[in-house]
Amino acid sequence: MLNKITFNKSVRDFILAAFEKSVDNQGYIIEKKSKQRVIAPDGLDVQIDEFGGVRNGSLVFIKSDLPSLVQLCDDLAK
Amino acid sequence: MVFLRKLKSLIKIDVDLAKLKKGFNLTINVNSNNKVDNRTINIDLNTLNEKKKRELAALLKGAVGEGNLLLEEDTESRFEDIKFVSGQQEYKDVVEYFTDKLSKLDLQILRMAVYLKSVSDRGESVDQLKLEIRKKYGERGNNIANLYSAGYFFTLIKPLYEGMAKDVNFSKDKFLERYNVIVMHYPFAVFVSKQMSLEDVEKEIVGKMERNKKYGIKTMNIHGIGKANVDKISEVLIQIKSDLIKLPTIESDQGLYYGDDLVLRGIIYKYRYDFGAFGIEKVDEEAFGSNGIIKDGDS
Repeated sequence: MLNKITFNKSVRDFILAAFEKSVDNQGYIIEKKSKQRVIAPDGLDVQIDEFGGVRNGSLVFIKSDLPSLVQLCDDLAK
Repeated sequence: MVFLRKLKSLIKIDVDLAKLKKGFNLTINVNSNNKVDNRTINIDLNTLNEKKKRELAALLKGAVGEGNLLLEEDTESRFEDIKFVSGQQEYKDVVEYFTDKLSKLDLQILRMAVYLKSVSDRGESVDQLKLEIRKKYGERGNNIANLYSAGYFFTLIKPLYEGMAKDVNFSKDKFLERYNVIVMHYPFAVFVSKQMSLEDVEKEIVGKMERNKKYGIKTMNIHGIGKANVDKISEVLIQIKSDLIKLPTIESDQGLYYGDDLVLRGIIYKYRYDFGAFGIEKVDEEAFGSNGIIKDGDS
């Protein structure tokens, strides 16, 4: 079990590509194949600027804002 | 262990597998060279060819699938800070006290407000955090954050609950009804933000004064953090000074000077004034200072 895996903003595209995702021309993260926008646990699309990371659970996209991170703390504490 | 071995072969650096067996951190970036520093393995993406990048991508995918978090550096740092603050006594006390008294939504916002205050207390900017709360929870989120930062959850809301709870006819709904008025209208306070123009500040202050007069509320606090906000408050107070029956007083927590510029950082100036509920008495203008306000208790 790893403690942490982190990445710098400069390699975001690589990280997204590793999960078969890319960014559309409006700045939203999309599925590479279907071009469908991915959604975060709050049910909303994820813009590349608010992309904070991923975790498992059929691949959950984590936003970097405070409400999403507090929610992440709660989810991991369960 | 399998992951470590694959990683070791991928980046060809000397990794002490036994030392990292119990756990390690992996960071991926550019222009930093591949290296191992204590328990942190650093991978420079620019040192990998396309084949190795594909291998690394597959490793990451597998690691996330096994339950590991993959976070952007700043996000990870914020996440760790939230976890740290969540373990602090103030946070625990607030959550414990308000858990059965507020809605789940308000409790969630309140937890963010406690975190925001802890960041502010360290002297760091909270503009972005406030924006994020507002974006997600709208005016209600913004108001709860303001009220908590200014101490009203313990100086007003907690005493309100405890006072009401003594009544034999007390119900949680009755408390929430009054609590909602405080959260959505806070008639006793105005919070001045950077986004508010001078006109906005005046409209907010005068509007609340007018509304309060109808209900016999005679006092109000005006909060502003930073020199720009304090200046706006001072301007408005000069304009409305004839409506005041008592001179406003200022309370400030701290002050910092840098070189020749006055920098007001993390300062809460609290102007208090009374005005007549049923008719305004004119103030003695001679008693005002040159900037229209009297300093009292500035420390």
